[in-house]
Amino acid sequence: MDIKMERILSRVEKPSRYTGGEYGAYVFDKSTIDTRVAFCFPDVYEIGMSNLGMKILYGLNNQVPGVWCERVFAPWPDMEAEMRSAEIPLYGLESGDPIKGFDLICFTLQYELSYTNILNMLDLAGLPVRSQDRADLTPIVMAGGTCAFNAEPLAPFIDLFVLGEGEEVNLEVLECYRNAKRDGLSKKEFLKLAAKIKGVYVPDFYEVEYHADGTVSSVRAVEGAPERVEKRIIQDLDKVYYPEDTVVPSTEIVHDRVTLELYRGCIRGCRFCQAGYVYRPVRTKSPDVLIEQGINSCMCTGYEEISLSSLSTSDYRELSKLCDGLLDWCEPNYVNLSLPSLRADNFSFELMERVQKVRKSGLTFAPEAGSQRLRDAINKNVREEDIANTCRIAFEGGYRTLKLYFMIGLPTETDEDVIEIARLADRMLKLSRETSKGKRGVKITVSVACFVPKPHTPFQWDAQNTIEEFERKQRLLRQHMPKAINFSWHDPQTSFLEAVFARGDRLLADVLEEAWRLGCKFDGWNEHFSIEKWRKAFENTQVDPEFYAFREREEDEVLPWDHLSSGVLKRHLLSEREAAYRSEITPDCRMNCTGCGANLMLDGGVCNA
Amino acid sequence: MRNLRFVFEKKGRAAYLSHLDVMRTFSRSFHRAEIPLRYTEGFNPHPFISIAHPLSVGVTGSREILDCDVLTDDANLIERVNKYLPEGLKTVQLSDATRKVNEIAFAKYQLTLYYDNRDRLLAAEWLSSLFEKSYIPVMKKSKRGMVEINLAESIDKLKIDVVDDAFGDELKLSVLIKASPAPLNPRYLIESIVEDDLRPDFVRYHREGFLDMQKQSFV
Repeated sequence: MDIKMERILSRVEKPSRYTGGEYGAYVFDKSTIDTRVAFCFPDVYEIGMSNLGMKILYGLNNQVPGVWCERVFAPWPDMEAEMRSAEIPLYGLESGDPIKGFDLICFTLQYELSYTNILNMLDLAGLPVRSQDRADLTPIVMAGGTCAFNAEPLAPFIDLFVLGEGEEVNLEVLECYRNAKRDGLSKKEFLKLAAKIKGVYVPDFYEVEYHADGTVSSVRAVEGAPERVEKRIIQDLDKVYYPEDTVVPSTEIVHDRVTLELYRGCIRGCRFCQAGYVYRPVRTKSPDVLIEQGINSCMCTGYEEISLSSLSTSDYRELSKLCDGLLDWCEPNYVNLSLPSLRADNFSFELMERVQKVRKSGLTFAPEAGSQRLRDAINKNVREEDIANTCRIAFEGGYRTLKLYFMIGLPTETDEDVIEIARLADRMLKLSRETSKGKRGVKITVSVACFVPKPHTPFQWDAQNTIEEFERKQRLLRQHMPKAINFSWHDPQTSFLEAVFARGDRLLADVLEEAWRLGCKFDGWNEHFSIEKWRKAFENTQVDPEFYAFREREEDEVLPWDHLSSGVLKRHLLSEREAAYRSEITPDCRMNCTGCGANLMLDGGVCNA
Repeated sequence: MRNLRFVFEKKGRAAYLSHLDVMRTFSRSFHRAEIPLRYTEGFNPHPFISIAHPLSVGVTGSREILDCDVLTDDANLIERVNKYLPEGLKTVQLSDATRKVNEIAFAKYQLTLYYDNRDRLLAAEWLSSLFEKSYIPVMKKSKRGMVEINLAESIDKLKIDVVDDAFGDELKLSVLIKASPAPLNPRYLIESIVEDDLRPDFVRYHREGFLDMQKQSFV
């Protein structure tokens, strides 16, 4: 390590974030490499390294002969300041080489509040942030991930987006790029070829026009790009690449364990949940494949824990078989198994008891709404009796913490619904006192987030509550919440900004750039978020954020993301919205197919939820 | 079951790992190498691994000590473990952990002091006289807040060398620091320098190893 970097690392917090050199990182002889890829996660190392998608795409790219993919994370502001003053450009963790000279710079879009970090990372790399100012074929800046389903606020910065699951399309883009480089094509010639790959969205090839009131009037595809970009899915998850030999961080990260993905998609159809819509249709991995991958991963990495991952673990049909198979190997090898995202039912609780013999980690439920009426409206299929029954057994069995997650500001919500959150918490408190007589009390935490309407969900037309309204509801809750409950709530300002960008259009790109120039970064981190700077950015660019957050859209309005398809029909989203306003539930996909349209992406067209 | 002593080096990028990071990394390397370890009994079993006088983040070491209980008679463990350790961590010697670590009396450190574009010869002279004093006050954080301690009581055989190398502006300071009653962090040597002109611009800390009461190598 050179002395300049050594001196810097002695001054910054958590220096091992910046050194690389972990076990399992790919290091190649540069003479065998013709294509350099930077996989950039626009947040700190500990967050990015916890992401399964990153592990998959990093491993996958590095299987391709001639390609070297490296990891890049956002430096914390102390490190950023050091890098800028020492003129050290953003580098790949494996080689330490500046990424400016790489071929592909790929960002993953996990949440809207990481957008300023993307601009900051491009700038730290020494690259112009706008696509039009990067004339050459090298580097191509691309992005994918959940937020790509409304990529519009990032459109001027990113050369191409990929929609949906990345395992196949990333390799196709990579191949297309390598051919273009070999043939000496221009950036535009490459982008025209790439736009023909299913799932690729080249924003420059779409012309957006607006009505006088600021709403979108039309989006027109040019240069032969498809009118609608369809997302990509993997047909057979049992056959898709899974990284068993991941990088093992030497320093502690957020999720420091083997992650096994049980299935993609979700049968539940909670109306607020973007993941539940954009990851459709449901596709499952078989228990035998999962058991083998879990064991191999532990042996390759030395991890002492396996976590099962999906949107709703209890909905995996062969969960018992899977857990038994894993436990047979895990127990004699001192490996723990953890099961997040369980439903509040007896089966799940018994399974959790069986699996987590050691640590009683505490119970966590997300009823999302306080009243049954509102839970029906958002199609959150959980009943208070289920939660109460599970809690009773758990408290009697010695569990001492309960966490309950809710949202306020959901469509159709009344003050009565809000107060019901406090009443539900109070009933759980009473229950805990009845069931744990003579024992140490149960600590109950209630956490209340502010609802953000997301694109591609039935609530994509709905207005977000104003900040004043959120604050009023929070006060109302504080008044009614029993003192013994540990009550916390989200800052409505960050949820407001998230709402603006979640359903934003291209006009927000100027705001984003201005906010970044004013110093906004790490907006998802309380210590760095500054609503004042953001307000100033909106003012300077004369863009009204309330237009995006607080406005209810007409159902026939052209939405900025209408040309980006998740495979779910707009007609389905509308009918779900209507059901919400009638407080009617929709049975899950297993009970009754709703005809959402996502099944048509499957070979054969039949969804096996 | 064997109680083994791994003597390892920690250098390069691994210098930035904390004590817990090193413990975790070794433990995972043992798993990867399929070396069975003895676990504690009880509700939350963990392997018996301990590190003597852990290094601070950023400090390198040549002969660090990790003791652990393994359930194998394989004689070839050095190679097996090294194959699975990340860059910068490497086992250099393996033996039975017969000597108790409380027989460690001194830690031998080498500090490299950088004086950017300043007269290091003058600094060397001044520092030599400074560290010869019988009372060297330095403020140390304790449970009861900041207390003044006498650094002179903890150091032995301090030597300052002016080395000629590519940079030409560094001093090498070698010193023994007493390991008991409590091992002192070598950064207090630098903190005891109150004169601004003598304070180096950067210091690299390296621990060469441990000595016993007779000032012989501990392992």
